[in-house]
Amino acid sequence: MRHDGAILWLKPFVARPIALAGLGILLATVLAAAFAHWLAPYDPYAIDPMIRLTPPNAAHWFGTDQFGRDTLSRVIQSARMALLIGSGVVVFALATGVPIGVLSALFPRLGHVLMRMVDVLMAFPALLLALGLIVILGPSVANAILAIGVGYMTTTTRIVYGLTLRLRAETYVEASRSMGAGTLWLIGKHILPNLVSPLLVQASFVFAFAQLGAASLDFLGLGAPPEIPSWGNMLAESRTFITRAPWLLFFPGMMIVATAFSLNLVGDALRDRLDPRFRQVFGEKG
Amino acid sequence: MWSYVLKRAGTTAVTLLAASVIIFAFIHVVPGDPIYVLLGDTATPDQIDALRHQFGLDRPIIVQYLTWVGHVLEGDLGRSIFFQAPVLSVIADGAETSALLATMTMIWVTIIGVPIGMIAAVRHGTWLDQGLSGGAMLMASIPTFWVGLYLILIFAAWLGWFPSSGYPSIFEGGGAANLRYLVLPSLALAAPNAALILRLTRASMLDVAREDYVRTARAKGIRPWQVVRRHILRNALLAVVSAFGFTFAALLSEAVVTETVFALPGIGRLVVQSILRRDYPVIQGVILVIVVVYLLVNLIVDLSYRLLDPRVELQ
Amino acid sequence: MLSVHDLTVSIGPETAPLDIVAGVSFDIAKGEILGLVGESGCGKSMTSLAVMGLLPQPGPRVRAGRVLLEGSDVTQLQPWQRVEAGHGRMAMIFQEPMTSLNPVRRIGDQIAEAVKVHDGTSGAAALLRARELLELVRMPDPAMQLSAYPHQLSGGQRQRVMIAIALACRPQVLIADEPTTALDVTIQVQILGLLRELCNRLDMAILFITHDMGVIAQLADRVAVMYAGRIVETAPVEALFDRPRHHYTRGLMDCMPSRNSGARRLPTISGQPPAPGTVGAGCVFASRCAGVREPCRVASPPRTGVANGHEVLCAFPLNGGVAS
Repeated sequence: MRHDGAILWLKPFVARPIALAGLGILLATVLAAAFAHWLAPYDPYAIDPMIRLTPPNAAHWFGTDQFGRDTLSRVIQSARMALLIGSGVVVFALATGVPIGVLSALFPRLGHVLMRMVDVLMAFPALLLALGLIVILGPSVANAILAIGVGYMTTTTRIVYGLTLRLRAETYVEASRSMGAGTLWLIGKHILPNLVSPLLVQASFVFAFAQLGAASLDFLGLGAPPEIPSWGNMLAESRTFITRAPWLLFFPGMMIVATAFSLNLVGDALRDRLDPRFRQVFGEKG
Repeated sequence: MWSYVLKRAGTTAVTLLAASVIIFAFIHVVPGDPIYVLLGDTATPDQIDALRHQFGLDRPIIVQYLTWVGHVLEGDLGRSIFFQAPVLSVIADGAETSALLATMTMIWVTIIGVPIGMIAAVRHGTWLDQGLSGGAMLMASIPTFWVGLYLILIFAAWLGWFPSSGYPSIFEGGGAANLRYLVLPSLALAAPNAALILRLTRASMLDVAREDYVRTARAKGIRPWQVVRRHILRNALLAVVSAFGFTFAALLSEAVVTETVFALPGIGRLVVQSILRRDYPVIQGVILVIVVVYLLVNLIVDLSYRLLDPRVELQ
Repeated sequence: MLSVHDLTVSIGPETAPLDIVAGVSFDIAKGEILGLVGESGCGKSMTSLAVMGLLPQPGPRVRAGRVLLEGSDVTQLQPWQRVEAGHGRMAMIFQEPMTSLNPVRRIGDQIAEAVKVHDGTSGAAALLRARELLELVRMPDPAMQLSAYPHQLSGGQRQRVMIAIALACRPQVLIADEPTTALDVTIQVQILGLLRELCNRLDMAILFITHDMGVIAQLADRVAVMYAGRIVETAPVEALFDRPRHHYTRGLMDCMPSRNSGARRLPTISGQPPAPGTVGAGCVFASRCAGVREPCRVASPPRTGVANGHEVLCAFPLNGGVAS
């Protein structure tokens, strides 16, 4: 059963080589994060003033930064922060959005109030909301996750709400309700299992856009503390050297693009295999 | 139609009211007492109490909120701690840059996103379509500030075609030629948003192409490109128009980063600088202004969408 | 007027095509209404779209056969290509009058657009002709309706507009794909009456597609019964209802409610039509046929003429009125 499921999920990727490439890049990022210590040719924190700002060469494939640190090693090390922020935001968005969305759809009165509150939160542009929260909470990795996550909590809630309303209206759910099924049983048996596929799609897109959001916060100096290597922090630090050492900005930027692009490709492939009833709940924006 | 306008304006007002509570609360939950920020460490308890009374901070929170709303409606958004000037005038100084940047960006988004999306839809399923849609997804995955930095490197530092940063007002000498300062920033800002509009245009054209009335049009014997022009395009663009409000919101957010990269004196950079300076009244004011602009733009987009769609008359 | 020979519509790969319409042939004369009847999914809509040149792309394609319009070969030609070649006088109306008109354009413009294609006139002249067409389809207050939007009309009025658009090309052949299925019964009767009247007045050939035997009895001159992509019986309408020769036709008629059937439960044909690609050797109806015999499962049945203008695709046709 489980085996069949795995094959079903791989199907959209086999038919689309570019989506398979996306999956490959993601896997590579995960491996880079997991084995950063073994993969990195140098200590990502080691300073060597003798080799400041050297262009890419045989010893340092991606060159060195203004402190003489090896860019390749720092790029690999930064994969950890990218995955941490991405999965943190996804977990936060799902852990808040799923219960709020499901309960709102099942209890219309509560739903009316909660969905109005979601509307109000959506009146704040996402990055502005994140900045406001950072001001209140102070900059840190956990707060960056929270600040970006709130913006995706609202979209996730809306999607879950829309899907649950549809599921609730389906005849078999109606039938089991009329037979006196408890709400918990209804949620566990009929709603949640049907939400798994669409939520996987949503998770891919949220993960992708969280990368861009985190990079923006880092770049503004309001994300992860500067001593932690992240692709956004690397861009922020080397920004002033753009004319002297353009390669410094190239590699971390490419990593952000590659990760976000891969996740978008994966999300797109998964969305196309979704049940057509659910597909229209996802706009092009994701 | 008018009852719809009233209803829609009512919803916007309620949302704005609820948002105002959040924005008001903002200044009360930020770390640090604003009184200490104003008076410094050397203040005596008497001075603190006096100032607290002067600002009305000793009154019940509801009264404080209503007072604040009253002031806001009179155009008084408080005073900037850093500039020692009214918040509204500080924001007004950045408004020209931000408004022009947003307008120029929306122009790029429209003239790049819509036509290319159309081409991809008409060539649906071909290599051209796959290339264009794939390219759009790639563009949507690139951080705007990174695009901005490389635009500066290539077109300002290497080629010298455009200035790399800053923006002198077109009203204070230089005239419309100063718009060249906004070319690179608006392009950087437009890239991901044009990509989203491109994908949306393509998707909605493909949706419309499956409609029964397109089959009717083909049955009349109209040539294929006329079917696209007269029946698919207009109906598809209706859906795209409704997405412009959403795009505008994304743009307001991303402008914060873009203005920082290009050192533009707009309200986006003002937010970032005010955060670093802990100038809370300015942050609060900018958030309020952006939320109001965003809600108004969405209201206008929504109403004009209804105006373009004749079906609304009976609803 | 319209002559279809051995039309075959297929889906799937070029090397292993699945025929959803398999060798359909029929003729329609001037002033004649041919009713094409069958269950949903039997291929009747695909047949009409293939004849009209409106098969959805990408999707099913015409693999074999010919379509002749007044002697000219128009096989595989889309409507605009027929107009260019000078054979543009075939039109079609569809099942859903709700969705078949563009919601954001005025009725007058939508009719005038068709007028422009065929008459070459535009502007006021085309609108005048549009108004004449609305009068022709007995639209109440035609001058007013020119500036209306589709959502302001009722379902029956919209179908009249669709007919007006179809008449803009002064058609020799009109294809009507379930045009009354989505309408109320009283409106349905009016639209059927209108089609009959127009057929006589304009001397058109009409191909009328439906799943409703009652509508067929009311409207058609001749009937072709379709099952699993094949025409299994063709006959003049009286002959078909008096003496159905195919077991499937007989089954369809037994399913019709009649005045004296009372509260009796209506009989149904047991089983499901075969899915395309699952048809093996033998008769396609064998698995559901009440009169099936051993040879039916092995060899395809022959097409036999049982009376004047009455053909049946059956090795052991019913012997008129005698139940098997």
